[in-house]
Amino acid sequence: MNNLPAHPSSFKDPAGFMFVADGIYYRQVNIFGSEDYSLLMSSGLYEKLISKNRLIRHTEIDNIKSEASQWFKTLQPEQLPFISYPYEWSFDQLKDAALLTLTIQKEALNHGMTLKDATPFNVQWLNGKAIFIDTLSFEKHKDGEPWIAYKQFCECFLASLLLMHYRNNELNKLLVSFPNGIPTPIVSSLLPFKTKLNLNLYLHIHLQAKMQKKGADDKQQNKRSLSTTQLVNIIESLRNLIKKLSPVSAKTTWNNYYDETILSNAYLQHKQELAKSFLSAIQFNSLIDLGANKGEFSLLFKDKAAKIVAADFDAACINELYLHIKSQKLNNIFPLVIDLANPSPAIGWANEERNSFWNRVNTDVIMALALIHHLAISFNISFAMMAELFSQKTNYLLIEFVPKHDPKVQQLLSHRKDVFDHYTQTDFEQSFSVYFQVLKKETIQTTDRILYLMKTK
Amino acid sequence: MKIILLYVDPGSTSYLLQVIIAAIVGVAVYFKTIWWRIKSFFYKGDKKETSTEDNTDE
Repeated sequence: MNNLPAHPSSFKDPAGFMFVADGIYYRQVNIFGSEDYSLLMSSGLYEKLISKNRLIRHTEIDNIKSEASQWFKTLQPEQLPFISYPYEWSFDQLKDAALLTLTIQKEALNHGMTLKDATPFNVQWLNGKAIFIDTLSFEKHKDGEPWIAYKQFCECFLASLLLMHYRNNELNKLLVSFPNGIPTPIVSSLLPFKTKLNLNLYLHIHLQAKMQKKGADDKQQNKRSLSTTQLVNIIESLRNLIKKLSPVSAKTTWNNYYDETILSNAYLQHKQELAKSFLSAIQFNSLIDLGANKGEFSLLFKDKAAKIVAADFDAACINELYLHIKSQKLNNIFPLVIDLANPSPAIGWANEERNSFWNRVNTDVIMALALIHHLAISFNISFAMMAELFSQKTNYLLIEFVPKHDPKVQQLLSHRKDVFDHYTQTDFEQSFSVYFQVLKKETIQTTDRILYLMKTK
Repeated sequence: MKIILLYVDPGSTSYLLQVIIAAIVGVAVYFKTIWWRIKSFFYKGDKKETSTEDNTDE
C-alpha cells in the first residue's frame, strides 16, 4: 500500500506524518527524522517512557508506506479510542497533560534528547490517563541550546492554566481561537496585578510578555550556553508553579443538580434502575452521555461499555468526574467539557486540522438524561432538530422527557416568556418517531418525567 | 536547514529569556539547598523533601 495522503492535522513536521489506512492510524518516519527517531529508540528513552505509560507504544511495520520517496519507517501506534482537544478538557486534565509534558522533557534531557514542540494537542487520553502521542517530537539535544519549545509550552499550557486559576475555569476555551498558544502579552494583561509578585509566574509570563513587546532579539546578545542542569531548573520552576494551581472555585449551576432536594432520592434511584434495565436488553460497545453532570449515569455502565464519553458544559462537574476517574483508575471514561448548543468547531488550516465535536461522535448509544428541556427552553432547539441530529450519530437513544409543569422547567421559564407551545409530550413523541421507534417507555417515580429507550429506524 | 529544524517558532526572545530565568532560578535553587542543609542539621529526624519527580501522571 503506497502513497496514502497525510492526515490533515499532520503537515508541520518534516520528520514525518500521520496517515490513515483502512481505519487504522499510522505514522511515517521520513528520512529527515531518521536520526532522531533512531536515537529515541536506542537511547533507552522510548523504553523508559513506555514503561511508565507516558508515551504511546508503537510497532514498526514494513508493508504499509505513505510517501515512498521520503520513507524511513512506518509505525503503527496503539490506537486511541477517542480524540479530544485541550479546549474540551477540564482544569485537572489540562494540568496533568502539562505536568506529563514537563516530566517527558526532563526525561528526554536525561537521555540527550529534547522535545521540539510542547503543544497540548500532543497529549491524548488512554486508559484514563494522559499519554504523549507524538513519537516524532523528540530530537537530539545540542549542548548549550535552550528548550526550543519553551515559549510554546508557556503559551499553550501555562497561560491557559493561569487564566483558569485566577479568572475562570473555562478559559482554556481561548485555545479554540489561539490553538498555537495564547500570546504572553495577552495573558499578562488578563492576569491580576498580584501575579507580578510571584517570582516564577513573573519570569515565565510577565517578563516574557515584556521582552516580546520590546522586541528583544537574541542575535544582538552574546550567546551564553545553557547547561542541562539549568534547563532542568527551568522545568522544575514551571512544575512548581503549575503544581500549586487549582481551578477557580465556584458553586456552579449544575454541580449540585442531583444533590439538591428538588429531585428526590427516590427519583434518582428509580431512574438509575430504569436506565440499567432498559440498556441491559441491548448489546453496545460505545456510549455517549450528553449532559453527563458528574457522570452518575456514565458510571453505571463502566463495566458494560468499552468506551464512554461523558460530556457536559459545566467545567466544574467534568473536573470532578475526571478526578473521580483518576482516583478510581477507571480506564474507559472520557470526560469532556462540551456546550451542546455550541460544540467544538472544526479549526485550523482548511478547517481540517482539528475535527468538530460531532464529527468525532459515532456511537452505539446516546444517553440524554435531564437534558432536552435545557436545549429546548434555554436555546430554542426544537425536538425535531434534536431527533434528527441524534439519529445520525447513534443506534440507540436513552432519553428523558421532562414535562412543562416540572419544577425544573418552570424554573427555566420563570424569567422568560413561554413561547414553547410545542413543548408537549405528544410533540416530543411525534418528532422523535420520524427517526426512531420506541422500544421502552416508563414514568420515573415521584415525577411526571418519562424515560424512553429508542432505536434508530 | 536551520529554518526547517526550528519549525516551532521559539520566539526571538526565548533564548535570552531562558538564560535570565536559568540564572535567577539557579540562585533560588542554591539558597534552597543551603536552607535544607541548615534545616536538616537542626532536625536530623526530618526527611529532606528533595523529590521533584512528578507523580500526578503515574
